[in-house]
Amino acid sequence: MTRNGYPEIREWLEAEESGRADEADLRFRSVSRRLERRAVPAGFADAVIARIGVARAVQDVYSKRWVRAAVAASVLLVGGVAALVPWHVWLDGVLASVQVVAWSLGRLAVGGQAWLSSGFALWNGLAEAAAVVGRQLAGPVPLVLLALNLAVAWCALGALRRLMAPQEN
Amino acid sequence: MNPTDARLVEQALAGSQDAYRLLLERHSRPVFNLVARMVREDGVAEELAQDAFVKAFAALRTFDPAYKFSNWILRIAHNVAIDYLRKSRLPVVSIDDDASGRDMADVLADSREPSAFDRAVQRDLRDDLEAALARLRPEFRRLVVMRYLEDLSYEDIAEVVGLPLGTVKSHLHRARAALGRLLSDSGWGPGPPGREE
Repeated sequence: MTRNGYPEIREWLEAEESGRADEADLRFRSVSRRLERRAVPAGFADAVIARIGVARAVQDVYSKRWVRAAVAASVLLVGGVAALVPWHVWLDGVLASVQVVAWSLGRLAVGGQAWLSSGFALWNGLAEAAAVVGRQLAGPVPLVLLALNLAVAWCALGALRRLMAPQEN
Repeated sequence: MNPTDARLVEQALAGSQDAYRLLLERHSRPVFNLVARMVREDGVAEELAQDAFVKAFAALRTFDPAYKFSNWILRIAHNVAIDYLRKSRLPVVSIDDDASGRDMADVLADSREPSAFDRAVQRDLRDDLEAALARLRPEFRRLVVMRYLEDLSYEDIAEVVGLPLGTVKSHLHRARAALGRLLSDSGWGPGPPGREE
């Protein structure tokens, strides 16, 4: 029995190619029996039960009557106190909060503007310095020096290659 | 007599830890198998499968006994695995080499013994099938696992993955075709006459 023409595979692929979907499904089911069913790791159920236990313990805290009563009493207390405060005091409070937010946004805008302008100033300075250096480099003396440098490097490289040639051979 | 899943869910909701454990024992293998095949990392798969059960048990009150518990838990596990794949953006196509360590030379040298050779071919086929399945796109692989490893019906698969029945069937057809191509590339196709490995 060899790979090519292996009966189960051949029959499956033939069914697949000729569009016999049900038969192909059946044939491939037979082929796929070779696929390994992964075993569940040991201790899997215990780990899940432990995790549920922790989650349930948290839920249980809130399921106790006295805890729920305490939470309800707190909510009622806060609500009652809030109801006792006159409406114009609430309004003042809201306006003060809005003012604080508006003031903070304004400060943020001013700070951002200052930061941007200092950034631009810095880049301006750098650009000017680069322009000066560029102008100097574009002059005849640096260009001649650069050309001289390149010529020396070229000659050195040629000499080095000539020296290395006998060793490579 | 074994209690039904719906009965176990009722008992679990009433606080029975044994019911939780029984549900786990019944469904942990298909859940783990599906997740492991989808994410292809056993350590991650174990954690995700646990997450799926914890989520399911936390939402047990929302389970509708008119549906199958197996489909419900598989759907949760499937969604957990999909979330993980989206976040981790795992490569769709595996570049895993064949790491089975098989040595065909030994087998061929002993080809006078057909049973040993047959066993080697069978092992080869299993390895190539595993490799081909690992290279399938996750959306196809999950369907193959549900259909051929977990024996789910087309209808159940459609319910688990939330796709129309026709789409499930056509995706499965394409998945099988892709597996066929991959196996042919590995030398299992009909091939020209006389071409043997």
